[in-house]
Amino acid sequence: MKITLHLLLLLLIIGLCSILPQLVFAQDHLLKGIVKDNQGLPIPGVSIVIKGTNQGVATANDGTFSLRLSGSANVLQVSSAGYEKKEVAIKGEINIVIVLEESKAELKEVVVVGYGTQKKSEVTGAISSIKNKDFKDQPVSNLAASIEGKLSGINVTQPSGTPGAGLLVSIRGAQNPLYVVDGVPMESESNSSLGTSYDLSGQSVGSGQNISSISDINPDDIESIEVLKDASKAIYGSRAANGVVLITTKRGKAGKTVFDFNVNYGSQSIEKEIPFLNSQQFYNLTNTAIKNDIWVYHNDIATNNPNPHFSLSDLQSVGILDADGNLIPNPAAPYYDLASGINTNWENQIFRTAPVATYELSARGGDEKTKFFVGGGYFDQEGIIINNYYKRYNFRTNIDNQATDRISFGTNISASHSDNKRSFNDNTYTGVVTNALGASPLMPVYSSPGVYADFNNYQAYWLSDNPVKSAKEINAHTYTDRFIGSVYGEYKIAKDFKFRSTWSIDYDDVNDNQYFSPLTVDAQTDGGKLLLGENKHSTWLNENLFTYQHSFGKNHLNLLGGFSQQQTEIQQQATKGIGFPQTGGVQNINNAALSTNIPVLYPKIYTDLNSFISRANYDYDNKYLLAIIMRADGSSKFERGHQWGYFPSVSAGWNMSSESFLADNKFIDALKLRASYGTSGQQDNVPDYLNYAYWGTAKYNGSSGFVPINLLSSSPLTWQVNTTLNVGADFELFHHFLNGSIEYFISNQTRLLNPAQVEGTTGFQTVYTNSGKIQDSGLEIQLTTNNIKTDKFSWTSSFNISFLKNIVKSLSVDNQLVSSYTDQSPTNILKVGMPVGEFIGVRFAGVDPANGDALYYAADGTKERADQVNFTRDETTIGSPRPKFFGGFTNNFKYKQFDLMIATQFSYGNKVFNLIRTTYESLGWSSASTPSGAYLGGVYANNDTRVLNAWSHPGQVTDIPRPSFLLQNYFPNSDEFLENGSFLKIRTVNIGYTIDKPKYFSSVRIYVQAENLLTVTKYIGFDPEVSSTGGGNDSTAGIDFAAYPPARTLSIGVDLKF
Amino acid sequence: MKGIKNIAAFGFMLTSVALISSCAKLNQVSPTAVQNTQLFKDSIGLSEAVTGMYSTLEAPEYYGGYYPMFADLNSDNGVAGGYNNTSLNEFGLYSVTSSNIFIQNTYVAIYKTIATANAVIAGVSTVKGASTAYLNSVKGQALTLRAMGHFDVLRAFGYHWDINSPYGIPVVTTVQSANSVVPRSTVAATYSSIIADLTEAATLLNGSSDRDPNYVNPAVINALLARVYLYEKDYANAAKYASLVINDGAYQLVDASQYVSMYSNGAKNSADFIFQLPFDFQNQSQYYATTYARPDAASTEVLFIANSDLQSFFESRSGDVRYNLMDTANANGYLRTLKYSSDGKYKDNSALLIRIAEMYLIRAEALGRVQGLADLNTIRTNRGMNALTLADVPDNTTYAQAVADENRAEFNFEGHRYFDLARTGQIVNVLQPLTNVSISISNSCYPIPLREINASNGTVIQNPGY
Repeated sequence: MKITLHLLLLLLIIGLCSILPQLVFAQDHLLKGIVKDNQGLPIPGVSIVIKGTNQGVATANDGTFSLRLSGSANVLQVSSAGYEKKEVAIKGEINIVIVLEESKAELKEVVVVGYGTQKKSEVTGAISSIKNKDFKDQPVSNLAASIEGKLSGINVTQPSGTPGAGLLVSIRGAQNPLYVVDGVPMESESNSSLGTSYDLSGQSVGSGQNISSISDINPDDIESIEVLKDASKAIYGSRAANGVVLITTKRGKAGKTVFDFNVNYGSQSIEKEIPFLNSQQFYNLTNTAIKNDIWVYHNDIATNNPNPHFSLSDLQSVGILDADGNLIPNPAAPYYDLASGINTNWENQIFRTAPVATYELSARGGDEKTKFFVGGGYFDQEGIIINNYYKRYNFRTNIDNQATDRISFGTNISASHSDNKRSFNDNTYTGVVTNALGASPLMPVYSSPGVYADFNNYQAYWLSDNPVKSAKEINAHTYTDRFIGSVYGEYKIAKDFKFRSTWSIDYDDVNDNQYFSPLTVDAQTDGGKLLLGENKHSTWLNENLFTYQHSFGKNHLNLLGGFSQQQTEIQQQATKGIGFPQTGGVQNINNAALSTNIPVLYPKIYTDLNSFISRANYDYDNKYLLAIIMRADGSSKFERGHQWGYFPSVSAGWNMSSESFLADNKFIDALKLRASYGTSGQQDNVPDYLNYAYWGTAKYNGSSGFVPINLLSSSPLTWQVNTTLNVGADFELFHHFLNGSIEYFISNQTRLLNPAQVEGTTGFQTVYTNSGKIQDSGLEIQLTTNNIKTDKFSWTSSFNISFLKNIVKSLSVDNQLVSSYTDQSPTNILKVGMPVGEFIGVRFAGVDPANGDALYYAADGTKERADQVNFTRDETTIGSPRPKFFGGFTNNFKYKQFDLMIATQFSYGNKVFNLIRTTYESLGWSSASTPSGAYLGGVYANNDTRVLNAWSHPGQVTDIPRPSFLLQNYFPNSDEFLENGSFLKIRTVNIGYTIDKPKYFSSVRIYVQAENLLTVTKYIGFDPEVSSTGGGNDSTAGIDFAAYPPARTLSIGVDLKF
Repeated sequence: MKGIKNIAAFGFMLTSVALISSCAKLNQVSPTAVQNTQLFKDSIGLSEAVTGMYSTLEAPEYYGGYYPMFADLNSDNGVAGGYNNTSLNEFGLYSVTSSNIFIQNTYVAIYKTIATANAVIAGVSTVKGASTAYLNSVKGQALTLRAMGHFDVLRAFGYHWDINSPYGIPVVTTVQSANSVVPRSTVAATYSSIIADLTEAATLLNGSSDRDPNYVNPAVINALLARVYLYEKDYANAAKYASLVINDGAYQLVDASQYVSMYSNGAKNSADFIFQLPFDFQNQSQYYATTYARPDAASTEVLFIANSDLQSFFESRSGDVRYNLMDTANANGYLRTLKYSSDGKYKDNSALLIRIAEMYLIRAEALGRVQGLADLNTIRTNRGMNALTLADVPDNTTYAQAVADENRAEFNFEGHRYFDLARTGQIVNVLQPLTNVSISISNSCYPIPLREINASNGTVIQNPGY
């Protein structure tokens, strides 16, 4: 009711203004007015000064003001932070509506810099910033998706399309930055307490899937995201080496309470399917492979091949040739029941079109004393793979109160609960997607109603289970409860001198619950299996800061100093139960016939971190800027005497455009040069308790004992140190037409805290050491242009591109081979002179046109067949998962009430090791490791339609080798399967319509949105944005083992403000 | 009122500042682990370290499954299953290369046992208040496991068949630090170190009547000595120690009617077992999962498939009850052993390290054709086969073949075959016909893992041919 009243009043005022002619009043009169933004919302606190006088007023909470004017012609100077200044001529009006445009001058924006804010023109570090308006309305669960392709130097990729999955955020080449939400550093790595990749015996072999804890933050609560890339991150000292992402959530504003209701509903579907052979083609492939083998056998004799592919007895023992060496007609036919007419498209069976919905309701407002933001949201995403979803409930309350002139306090509280029903063994060789790729089209989903078909009976031995059964009968849930809360009090000790104390808690409880029904291969002999895991993580933090701000003449000084202390406690436990009753679907651990706990390496961990923080900012006349940061951190992770690290940095800037020689320059609106040099550290990436040798739990024959767990490094561990040199320029040119920044940096990661290889004779593979050095360098450009700006139509473009180079400078042990899964051959190498995570493999030398053999380069340069490859001898570096350059290009259009945003992202030069292709391009191979072991009923896998172009006759030039049943005519760990992962994606398209002066609401916007609309790539698999580890480990990035493909989402939404 | 608020704020400030002095001391100790010095204070801690030492034997890469199974896979007994895993296929093709992920892990797993044994041996001297007999027993057990560890490394990675070869293995007898590097000893030096450890252990445990097959005891030491001497080709000693075990009285060779059932229920208990490792539901072994997987398993689910050569071998031996432990009627077109097919629910099949049958066969081989035939026949007749006469094995070659065959029939998929072939110089003869890859004498042991060569900066040298 009150809202309607206000609306009416507003309309009345507007109406009066337009109806009343310009009347001339007496010389002295009262002017009443209201100041609003371009969305029609009142702006409080706007300064209105009569030009040429020092008379003026500020607008009230409802944006209104009244001012007594003398004379018939006055000019009002209207200004407010964040808005363009405006001069308004008054010629006797008594009522006026003044509309302020939001400030377009980039350099005047305020950015968060850690423990405070700065005007962008005063910033001396390399900080990328993005505001809510540039990422709102996206139906994504993870805030990292909001910055994809939008900030220079920051490469965000989606390694898995699993709902709620983590994203890989790499800042200037370093992964896993520190996330700070409203000043609270948050636990951000994957914190699932169970492995997410298992081998067949149930042993965890790696983590194909990343359960990201930053998904607990609702992207819609975020006001802005700032990324500290250079020495400016030193303020976060020991944890900032990989960059710092500062997240600022929405806060209250004085004025009318604004309710915001945002609903978004969308439909997701797979962006690209891999075309597979149908039943007839599958059978033909096997037949072709068998015929080829017979031909090869005869051809070997005819050409007198000194290394025949196989012997007569091999062909006979398999049952291709009879005892006399004669052809057995259609030997494989009994195993292919083409008459059944079954032609299952397995991708269609596991993928689906799935809905995604977000609902947000928030209120923000307050008065001079108390300001608040209260919001709640529900995110509900069904996976595009059957039977999985992600649901999140979240709430947030931010309150600030100015109790007295001197005292203010406030709180930020966010809580969330999520249920992630994920896809089992994502990006692992026994997962749902991996099973579906290569499953026989002759296999039905159900052999009879309600009975899953047994894959053993239908070829394709690659499978570990019927894909639909895996998806439906393995219920893998990850439940997360997250609470991040802080309270602060601020006390103004004197003018310019403040003290602020903050207490916060980050509590995170992750429960994994994986149930395997007795129908599954995994739990068939167990009668059902349940794996439970819990990872409880809580950190309390206390920060105490003094700030002093003082100006004398043209000198501005800003000092900050204080200390912080924090303690983290982590608890982990895991339980396994087998043998479950089959009635009623009871899957509780209490129902298990047999249960036991699974020992974990670190069941309970405490970590302390104490820090001293200081920063000094000085500028002269806003022209010459200087910032000095010094932070000291002490961590309980290290031995006494090595616990404290000191992280200084210095940076300077020069606002050239404020100099007189540029003041009148027509082209340059603003120009700032800056440089910084500083250090930051890293300690989060090492386990606790490495500061002493200890023995951990061990069991034998019913007794409990201890076994050595930690071998001490030869020199005590201490901080990893990064030094970064950055030079950059911020500019705004051609009457605000172009603004942007350009950066060049060199960053050295030294004293790397990493597991260094030691002699196995110690009983250990690795020991954590401070060893090695990695250098990152790069050039980053970010540009925004205001292409067209008229009353009705506007068009702005943002472009960013980053050229990053990563090189290993030294290592404790050179040439370390790294496996992406603990039971697989190495795929990557750490080698001096190469980027981290360079791929290794054998070089593919093409297909021999004479007989269709896949050929590989041996170490001596000669060509050899797949069965002659000696992996260790012949492997070499074959490419890098790191792009040569990447970036994004975003265009915003506005025409009358319509707006359109198109965001694209690109990456060039990155390679992807498509290991799953070694299965679905197995060319009719039987799956036996030796020719004589081949079994006619046991073909390895169905293939994609590319193999229809395989070598088929002598003389044919092709790059797809000859199908062969007895021999694996390809070598999996070779660059035959290393693909160009470059891509251009149309990431987001958003078309909106804002209703002009709606009834009952202050603003209504309706929009349609498309995510992942189009990908242009040569990549053969689902999507080139993959990684074996989902973001945890950059030394094994870019391995595709059939990761959950990303979805294309089309959605519609409404944003109501009232 | 305002004054009170200011005082409250000031108090809050002071409290916060005061906390810095009482804040965490940056001195955290793991609540779930113990330090060296704590552990080796008294006999309780020592016995817990001993428990830990035995647990290292059960690592999946060692006797938890992989170490013995690779010795069958890398022979005419096995074929690589699994999902086309390059590292696994290398065993199946008898051409393991030095970056193979499995040998890398196994090498370290065995040295973990050796390192733990060394820590226990060092700890014995710091323990206070324990009886000498107890300390001797602990030291004897540790020395035995250290010797067994070295022997297991030697027969996998060293030229164990050639006493004159320089390609022994790194012998580690002290507690190591992170930058310790131990070069390879000669084969002779490796053997003498192993034998010295076992001999000292025998003295320390002398007189013990304990015959618990889950722990080292005097009979286990003698059995290991018999095995080591056989590999070293010191036949007199091999026979001597084999006899000591056979005549010990605690062990009984099972007969044909019981042979198959010996492996049932996870092979937990039999008078045949001299040294076995027990597993349980919490601490499962890998044998069931890697050789059987489940009743209807496809060939890809089983990592260690049986070779058709093993089937034809058994088909030529009429009456041999051991053939019953092969799954030949598998609908999915492959062969597998059934030795670990029991106890699918618990998956806790024991690791069978030493059985009494091995002592008979060691003695049969050590004593030679004339004297040894009786022992060979003891095994044969207890397995449903007829006894051989000297006429059936007319010369040493045929006799050696008969012993080798008996070993293969008895111990297939128990981790003997590859080592036996290498020990008797049969690698090329037996394996070359089964693969396209060219096999040479250098394939008689695995390469030293590449990471060891790299991490030692070349101090640890590679075997010839790799």
